[in-house]
Order: sequence, then structure tokens, then C-alpha cells
Amino acid sequence: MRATGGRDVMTNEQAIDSSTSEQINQEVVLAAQKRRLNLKKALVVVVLYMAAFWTLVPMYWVALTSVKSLRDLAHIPPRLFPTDPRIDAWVTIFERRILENIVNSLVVAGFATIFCLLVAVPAAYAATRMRLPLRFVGIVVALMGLVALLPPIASAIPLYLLGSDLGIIDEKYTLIILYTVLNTAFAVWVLRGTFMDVPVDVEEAALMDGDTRFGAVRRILLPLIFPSLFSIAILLFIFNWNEYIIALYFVNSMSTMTLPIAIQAQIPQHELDWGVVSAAGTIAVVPVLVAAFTLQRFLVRGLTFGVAG
Amino acid sequence: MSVPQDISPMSGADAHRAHVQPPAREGIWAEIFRYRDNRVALALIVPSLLALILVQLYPILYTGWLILTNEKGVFIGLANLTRLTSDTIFRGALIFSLKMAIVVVPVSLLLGLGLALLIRSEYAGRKAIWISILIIPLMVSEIVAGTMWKIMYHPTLGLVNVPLTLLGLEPIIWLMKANTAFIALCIVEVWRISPLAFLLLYAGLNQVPRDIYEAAAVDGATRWRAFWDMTIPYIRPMFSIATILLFVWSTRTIGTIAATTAGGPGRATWNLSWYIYGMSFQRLKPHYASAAVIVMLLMTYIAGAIFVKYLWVERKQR
Repeated sequence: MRATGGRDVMTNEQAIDSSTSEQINQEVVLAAQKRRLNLKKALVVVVLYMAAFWTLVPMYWVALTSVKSLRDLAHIPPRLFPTDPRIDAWVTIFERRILENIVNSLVVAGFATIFCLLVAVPAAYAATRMRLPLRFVGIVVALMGLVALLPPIASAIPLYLLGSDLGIIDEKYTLIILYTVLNTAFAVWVLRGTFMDVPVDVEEAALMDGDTRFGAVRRILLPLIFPSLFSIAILLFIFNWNEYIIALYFVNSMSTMTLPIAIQAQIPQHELDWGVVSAAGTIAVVPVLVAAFTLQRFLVRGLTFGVAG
Repeated sequence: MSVPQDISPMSGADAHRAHVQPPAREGIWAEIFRYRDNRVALALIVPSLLALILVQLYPILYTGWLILTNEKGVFIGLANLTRLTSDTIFRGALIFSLKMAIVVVPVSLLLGLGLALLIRSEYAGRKAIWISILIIPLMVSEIVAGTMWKIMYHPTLGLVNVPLTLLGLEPIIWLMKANTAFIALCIVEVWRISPLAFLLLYAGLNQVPRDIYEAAAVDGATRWRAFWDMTIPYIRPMFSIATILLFVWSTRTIGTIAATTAGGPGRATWNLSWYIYGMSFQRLKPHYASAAVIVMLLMTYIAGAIFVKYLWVERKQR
């Protein structure tokens, strides 16, 4: 549309001033077009910067609050940059044994992620590569999609009552088991999309050549899907790292307390204690930043071809 | 779904079965157990089915049993559900959840669509970096998001009041009044879940082939018409999915409320999840809370049924 507009201008100008050579005219029009393009580009970039600002500012603010000195914390209006950075809050948060919470979170999230993949990869393989009756696979997959929607709070009460009957509340392995099973449906659902993206021809060829099914999976399929598998693992890890509701029911003591619960416990009672909870929040966000940069390509691609495909 | 089924490696006899014999003739279990390959496949699926039963079937059945009994385990019929209908706290929580969804979902969708279109446009430079930044809130824990925004809203520490004081207005104590607390929580939720709308809609936009725009431009369509008549129909399935997921996410939020208002002031910011948590864990009435769980499940699964329907419809179109 812009091109036709440019041509209109050109013909008008040619009609008015026929002595100007066409060469110069074209350059003028091109320059005008380029300026308009630059303006548009600038506008888009400015809006994007605003969006990035809106996304990042709470994180900056928390990190800032964690290093503010007491005088800065009390300053009105709040300072936008640290004038006198202190690490007191960070010392305090480690004195309050946040390290144990971090270790708990790492252990629970790590093991749950590994177990979840161990359960989900074979299931996704069977659902996409082996010829179970279509109806059966359809039912299983639809069920798994629905479970991915299940609000965790809905299963929390029955699982809590079951857990207290069995006497396994407030144990790390309980959290690992629960996080594993809670994410299995989602993992199968996503992995299924990943497996479907890989053409079966290569595996088929390996099978024809007399390779076993397991050999074909190990030598051909797994290397092909490894990047996706890695991304899914990170995604699951972040889910577990952030998990809050189940932990709220199942954590009673310091020995199992994961980071989200610890952060909630740090939300201050008196006014000038905000640095400590800010430090804890900053710790919790670090893996998230790493994950966001690692995952973006996979997420866009996975959503384009996995969920909708 | 049918594609990998058809082209998976198969021996001659199996191929004969798959193509000639209609699959629904014999019972589904007999069909599964007849072939060794199927038995192996079943064994691979069973662990995740067990997980499914543990987190899905068992809790729902148990919840169904819980609402029929009271705390002493005595059968009381539907008394828990009828009590729920006259419970003003529950009604307040339900209305708060729905009100929040009505505000948060459209705002997030518009924000997500706008950003997706911008990133998709040729003017945005390094797309990967922009996307990475914009999806960060999606991966921040609810409780951490709540904590961050609690600091942002803090009357003296927070950034939100800084522009107001610069304009000479009175600083607002956001989380202490019911109205402003609602607005504040909506902003937190938009911050937290609009990236999901962005991500889904961006993925949807990626499926739109670019050459149709050139064709439309040749035919003399304006950009606006091209957007309404071509972009929107293409991303409509993704739009529906995004709407449903955002609805589900915004109704289930609990960590943001726990960190910011803890349901206060009074009970002004109790939502459904917070109500269930409060009833079951703090007041130790899991049987009564289960009735509220059923309401929430219904809401989720109505949304989920639509979700599955759209996924299926789209798959058939391909």
C-alpha cells in the first residue's frame, strides 16, 4: 500500500515539474519512505522498551531493596538507585538458613524432574511410536490434557488427607513423589508433541537393518530430540522450583521447607525488615532468568507445532 | 494423531490387520493384549497412568466422598453443598475470582496480542532477546511475584507511588482498601499471566504464512482489512486456547494473594483458591472445603472441555 502511495506522489510531482529528472525524484521518494520506516521502527522499539521495563522493573526493585542501607530504606521518596549499597540483608538471610531451603528446593525439584522424565518419556514414546489402538491412545492423551488443567489446590486436600493417614507429611520424598506425578500428565502431553515432530523414517530404517527397538531409540531418536528433552527438563524444574500450593500443605518444618515457603515466612512483621525478603526473592528469581533465556526458542516452537499441531 | 500410527514400522501381518480389519470390531482390551508390541506399549504407558490415577481419579473420587460426609465421617448427603449456597464468604470469593478473571483475561489478551504483533513485525530487532525478556514473569513463582509487588506497592518503599507523589497527589495505600487492593491484584495478575497470552498468540501468528499478505496487498487490501480478515481467523484457535488457559490460571492464583494481601482487608480479596485453602487448612474443615473444590473443578473442566474441543477441531482441519 505504501508503495502505491509513493508512486502516486511521484506521478504528481512529475506532472507539476516535468523538468526534474526521474532519477532525483525517485531518490527523494525513497528517502521519504526510509524516514517513515525509521519512525515506525523507532515507535515499535520504544513500545518494546516500555514492555521490557514493565516486565523487569519489579525484579530490579526487589534486587535494589535487598542492597539498600537502612537509611535508604527509610528515605522518602524511595531512592531509584542505591546510594550506599549494603549486604546486611544478604548476611541476615543466610543466617536464617536460607541455604538449607535452597538445597531442599534443588533436591526436590531435581529428583522430581528426573523421575518425571523417566515416567513420561516411555509413555510418550508408546503413544506416538507404537501401534496401540487409536481410541485408547486418544482417551489417554485427552485425559492427560485435562489433568494438565487440574488446579493443584483441588488435589491438595485429598492428597493431604491421604498423606496424613500414611504418616508421610513433611518428608522430602513425599514432595518428590507428588511433584513427579503432578507433572507427569503435562510432560507426556508436551513430549508427545516433540516425538510427533520427528519423522519415524530413520528409526524405521534402523529397525529394518536389524536393530532392536531400544537400540533405535537410544541411537537415533534420543539424540534427535535431546534439545527438546533438555528444554522440557528445564521447564519441569522451574515448575517444581516454583511450586507453592502442595508445599503449603506438605511442609511443616525446616527440614523440608522449600524456597517459596521460606520466602513467604520471611515477609516481614516490622517495617524495616524488607531487605531480607527481597534478598530471598532475588535468589528465587535467578534460575528463572536463566531458564527464560534458554527456553524461549523451545517454547515458541513447541507451542507453534506441539500444542496446536 | 493418525499419521505416526499409519507409518510406524509394522510387519506384514500387522499391516494387514491395521488396514483391512476395522479396529473397533473386537473389544479394545482384547485388541491391546493380542500383540506383544501392544503389551510392551501398555507397560510403558502404565506408570504415567498410575500417576494420572493418583493425582486425578483418586482426588476427585475422594473429594466426591468428602463432600457427602462431615468432619466425624458421618454421611450427611448434600448438606455441604447446600450450606455452600448460603455461605456469603464463599459467594464473595467466587465473585472475586470471576471479577478478577473478567478484568485480567481481556487486558492480558490485548496486551499479549499487541506485543506479539510488534515482535512479529519486521521492525523489532533481536526477537529472541525480546521474547526472553517478555516471558520471564511466566516462570516467576506466584509467591515471589506477590512479594515483589508487595514491595512495589509499599507506601514508602514502593515504586508505584513515586509518580503519584511527583505529580503532587496523595500516595495511595494500595493494599489496605478493598477497591485499590482489587486493582492492585489485577495488575499483579496481568503482569504474571499476560506473557502466556503473548507466547501463545505469538506462536499462533507464526503459523500465518507471510505470502498471503503480499497476495492481499496485490489485491489492494489495506493493512487493517488484512489484519481482520486474515490474521484474526488464523489465530482464532490459539486465541480461544489462550482465553481458556488465562481464565483457568487467573482463577487458581493463590500465592500472589498470600504474599500481598493475605485475603485482606477483611475478606475483600478472598478468591476461590484462598477460600479453599483457608477452609481446609486453617479452619480444618476439609469436608466443607471440598464442596468449593467441586465448584472450582466444574469451572475448570467446562473450560477444559472447550480446550479439548478446539484442539480436536483444529487437528481435524489439518
